[in-house]
Amino acid sequence: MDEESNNNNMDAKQQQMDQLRALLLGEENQQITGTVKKHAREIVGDVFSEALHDRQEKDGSVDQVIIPLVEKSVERSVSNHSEKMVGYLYPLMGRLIRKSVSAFLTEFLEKTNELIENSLTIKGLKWRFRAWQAGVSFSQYVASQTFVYKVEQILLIHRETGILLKSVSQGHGAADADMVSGMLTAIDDFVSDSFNAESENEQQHLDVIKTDDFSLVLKRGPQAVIVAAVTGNMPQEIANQLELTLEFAHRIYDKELASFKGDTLPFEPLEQQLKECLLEELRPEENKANKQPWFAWLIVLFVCSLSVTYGYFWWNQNELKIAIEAIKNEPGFVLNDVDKSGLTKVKVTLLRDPSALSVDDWLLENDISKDNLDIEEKRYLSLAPELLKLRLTKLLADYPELTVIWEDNLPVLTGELPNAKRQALSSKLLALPGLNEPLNVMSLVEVEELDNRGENNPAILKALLELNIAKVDSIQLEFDQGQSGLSDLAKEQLKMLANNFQTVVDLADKQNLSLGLIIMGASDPVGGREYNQRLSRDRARAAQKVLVEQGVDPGYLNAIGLGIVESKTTGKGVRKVLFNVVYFDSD
Amino acid sequence: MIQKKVCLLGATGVGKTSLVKQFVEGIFSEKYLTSIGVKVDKRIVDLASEQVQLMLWDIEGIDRYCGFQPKYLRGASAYIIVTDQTRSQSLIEGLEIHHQCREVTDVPAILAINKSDLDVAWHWSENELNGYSQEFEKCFTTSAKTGQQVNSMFEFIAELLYY
Ligand SMILES: Nc1nc2c(ncn2[C@@H]2O[C@H](COP(=O)(O)OP(=O)(O)OP(=O)(O)O)[C@@H](O)[C@H]2O)c(=O)[nH]1
Ligand SMILES: [Mg+2]
Repeated sequence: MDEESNNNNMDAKQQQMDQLRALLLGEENQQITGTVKKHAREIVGDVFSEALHDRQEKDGSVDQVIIPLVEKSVERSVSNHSEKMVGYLYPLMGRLIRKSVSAFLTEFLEKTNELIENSLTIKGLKWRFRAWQAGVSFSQYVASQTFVYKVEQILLIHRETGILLKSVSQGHGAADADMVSGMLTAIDDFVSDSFNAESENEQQHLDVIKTDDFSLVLKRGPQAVIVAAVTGNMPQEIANQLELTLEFAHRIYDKELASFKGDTLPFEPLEQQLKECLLEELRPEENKANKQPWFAWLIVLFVCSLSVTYGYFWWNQNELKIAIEAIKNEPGFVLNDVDKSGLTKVKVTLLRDPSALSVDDWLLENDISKDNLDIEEKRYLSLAPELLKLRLTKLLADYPELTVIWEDNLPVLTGELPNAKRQALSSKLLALPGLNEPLNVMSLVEVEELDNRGENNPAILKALLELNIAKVDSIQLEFDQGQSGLSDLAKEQLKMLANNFQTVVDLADKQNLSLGLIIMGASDPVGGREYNQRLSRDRARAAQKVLVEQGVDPGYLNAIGLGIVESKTTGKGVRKVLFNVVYFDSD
Repeated sequence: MIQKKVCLLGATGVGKTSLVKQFVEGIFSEKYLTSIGVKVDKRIVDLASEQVQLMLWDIEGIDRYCGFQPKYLRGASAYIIVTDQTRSQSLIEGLEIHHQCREVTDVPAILAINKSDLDVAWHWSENELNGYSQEFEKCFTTSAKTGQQVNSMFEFIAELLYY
């Protein structure tokens, strides 16, 4: 209501204005309007934008007038000049579409990238670093470095479900290949829907998806899609191979593909066929004529001179180390450790036998300067034959009566010594380090006094008797399990025993003593008690027999079987023959 | 091993992506990132004597900006219509999608009434819901947040498809 009365008001005012204008301007009305019209363009032009703005601000009426106008003209332009309009809009639309597609693809590509990167080996680490240096992506670097091209992975996908039927890859398999397959199928669906080509029967599909890093090559059959992930520049060869393989799969697995219910097992045997698609071509080794920048050469020079200086020291130190290491071949030395210390010094820790050469003498002998050496010396006793010789020579200086014969580094002494001196020597020999059987060494040393005084001195006779009895008693024969036969060693021992026993018999005669030798067989508990009783006696008798053969009067001998004898300490059975000499006064 | 393709469909924001994430990774996030295109995920389901690998196609929410793409359904062995019990409209849209699906496929369809951890805020009565459920193989009241009925729904599907 308000607005209407307002409008009426305005109309009334307008009429009044017109009347006023007619009154004022009269006949010149025409002329004045003419002048105004003449400058109208100028006047309106000056305030046009401002006026539009003010009016829009005031009641928004400008929109109402202009929008239908613009819409109409755009409509006309689009229908008349559609080509041109598409040209204008394409860059904008293209960007929008690309954006949504790329969001769609990103995750998929990440997966695939992972797939490819994972399939590369450890040397990849080095390349990764180089790629980072060169500022290119890893896969790109790998592709450019190694291969003209390389098929990293082959996927055979059931077309309808997008389920991965079988995949093969260079190196180890990729766990996510089945997800990638699904997404690839989804992308393909998306593309064929979104970029529908004009002609109905020719749908658009993805043939190659190219990224900076790799290409995915797709070949479609009626039931399955084969996809190759390729790095590098792919030759036609791959496409052909893919087609062949795809045809093969369709031919052989026609029924399985058509009735596919999600079971991929029947497609396992395709592995070989798919593997044939894993083609690659190694980049031939190129000789790159590189221009090295001059400062790099400077650095190289600096590094070189540094390493030459360092190398000189290093070499010297090494020589010294090798020279000093030779000390370990010197008898009486044990080299514990040789180590470089600092730039020039060599630290040595060694053991030296007191009878050996002194370190200083050795250095002098070998012409090695002590300057750069840091030697720590500890004492020890060497068992080396050379040192034994030294020690023995020193010891024998006190026994001019004796001569030494060396047999294979084993000394044998010959000569005659009074008993006391002989005893003293034998205890010294026992204390001599490195001598294996000290008493054997002396076996050829005769005791001088024995013959002279033995007959007369009952005490000595008694002692000698005891000594020889001990020798006999100490002999033990060993037997194999269940055996009573004598080994060669046992026969040898019995020979010696026969000798010793003869001595004992002689000595006993001299002292009017009666003698007996008890031969005791023993056995371990294996087998019955009775069996062992017999076995032990057989052993004793076998020994007895040999002794008789060796000339021992059987009257002295008494073979008995002890049966089972077990050592209380070790718990082991005793498979032996033992000897015991018994004597008593004849009267 | 048997593999089966299963699609998740429904209006935007009803929780399709969240359901898959809960089932596959066992995690839930309050953050909402609307899906574009399709994301394929997988999980092996152990049945009594066998295993089935479900290939889960999480399809972008269908609304007036983004129409139904029947191609994504190709080769699917089953599909899930996901609705959000805090939005009445989500069921109407879900049913509409279901009918569109029925034009191209007759594989089993499952109805998921999601966000069960939140208070019911739609005006559908028990009776109405029961009526709509008749059109589906089975109806589950799920929560991607607490995991309620999520595993049982996918296990039910795996079993249904295997036997
Ligand atoms: N409380 C609660 N929130 C949920 C549940 N499921 C999903 N949401 C939330 O709902 C929002 C949307 O979830 P999405 O899973 O992204 O939904 P969508 O269906 O995939 O959406 P579009 O991809 O856009 O179609 C997110 O913020 C989730 O955190 C649920 O069960 N309970
Ligand atoms: Mg989503």
